[in-house]
Amino acid sequence: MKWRCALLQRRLPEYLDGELTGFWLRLVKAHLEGCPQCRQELEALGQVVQALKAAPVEDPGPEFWAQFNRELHLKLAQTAHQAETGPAPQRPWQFRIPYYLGAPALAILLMVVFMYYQGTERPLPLAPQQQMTQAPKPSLPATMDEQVEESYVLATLDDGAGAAEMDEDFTTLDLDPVLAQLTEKEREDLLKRLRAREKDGSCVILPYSVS
Amino acid sequence: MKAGNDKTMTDYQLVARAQSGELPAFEELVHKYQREIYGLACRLVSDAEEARDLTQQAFLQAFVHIRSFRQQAQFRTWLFRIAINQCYSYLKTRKKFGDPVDADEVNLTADDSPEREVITQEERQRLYAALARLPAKQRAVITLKVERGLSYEEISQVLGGTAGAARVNYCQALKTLKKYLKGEDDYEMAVRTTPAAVARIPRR
Repeated sequence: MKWRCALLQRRLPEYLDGELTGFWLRLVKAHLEGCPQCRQELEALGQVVQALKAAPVEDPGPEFWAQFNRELHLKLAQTAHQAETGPAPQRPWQFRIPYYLGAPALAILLMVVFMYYQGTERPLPLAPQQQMTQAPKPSLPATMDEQVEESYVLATLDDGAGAAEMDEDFTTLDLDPVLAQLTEKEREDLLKRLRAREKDGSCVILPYSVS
Repeated sequence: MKAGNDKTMTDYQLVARAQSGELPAFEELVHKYQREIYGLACRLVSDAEEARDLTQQAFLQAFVHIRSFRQQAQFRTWLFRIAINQCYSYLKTRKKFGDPVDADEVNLTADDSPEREVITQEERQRLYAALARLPAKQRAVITLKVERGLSYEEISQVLGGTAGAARVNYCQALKTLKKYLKGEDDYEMAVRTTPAAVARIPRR
């Protein structure tokens, strides 16, 4: 069977019933003119429909329906009587909270949880080095004159390459104790690298006391 | 509308009265549709006695749930849906507990039918046997379409799904029925390889 025949044979029942219109009707008609196989299929389907229409379920007769209606009337009357006299069924869902109240309740719950976490939010634990240097006043000095005793290097490692180059974490490093432990050559080397990064703009060197 | 004009009342009015608790209005609906529902049940279960019981069950269910019918669809299609669900339940039970119906015992048409000259008794038996072999849904589609004259849209309301699905189902049902009536399936069965035949084929 060709693909066109298979496609159009799906429309043959509609064609038989006269329900095809427009494009499909023209297509099926044109195809049937040139395809004996599909004409044969149409004829066979028509015979099946005719056979079905010619053999309907026979009416069982008035006696059957009289008996049927008597029985059904009794059952219906009994059902109606039970519905009238019996206690009204109290369905459990009538006493439940309506489902549309669920959305506001959920919103309120989420809001409470959010506010709880916002209120109890604590700062992240500081690195031990930072804890030592930052306490008791973690903020930067307001003027350059006030920062003689303490100095910080704020560095922002914004790319992977810079991070690879810098072995130490300079983001919150107190430079003075570090420099104090180094030899002069190492100190110059470190400062040179820091200045190079300062030129990139990836870190800021604040004044420090150790020279 | 007055009670004297009941015969001219539409389904909408009868259903409205039945919903307000008037049993005569519902019985009017029963008289109007009992033959169609019975015919549908007969086609689906292929058993006249069961079809009668299922028809009564369908009307009882409709009466119990008439208040929940919101008149958005036709009462007729709603009733068909209830009847088909009853038949499906029955067929499921029969399949589970086993109560095969012999197609020869199904005699739903009286001998004095005017179609007797057109279709012989033997052909009728073949048709019923072929219908009984169809899946229940295809039987329902073919009955609703050919005998009850429902559109694909209405069939989709009764059976669920879309109008396109109803069309495809109807087409498939007709083709299968044609195959059964022409005995093409017997030929297929004959040429189909059996496990014994497969076992005889030497393996490489």
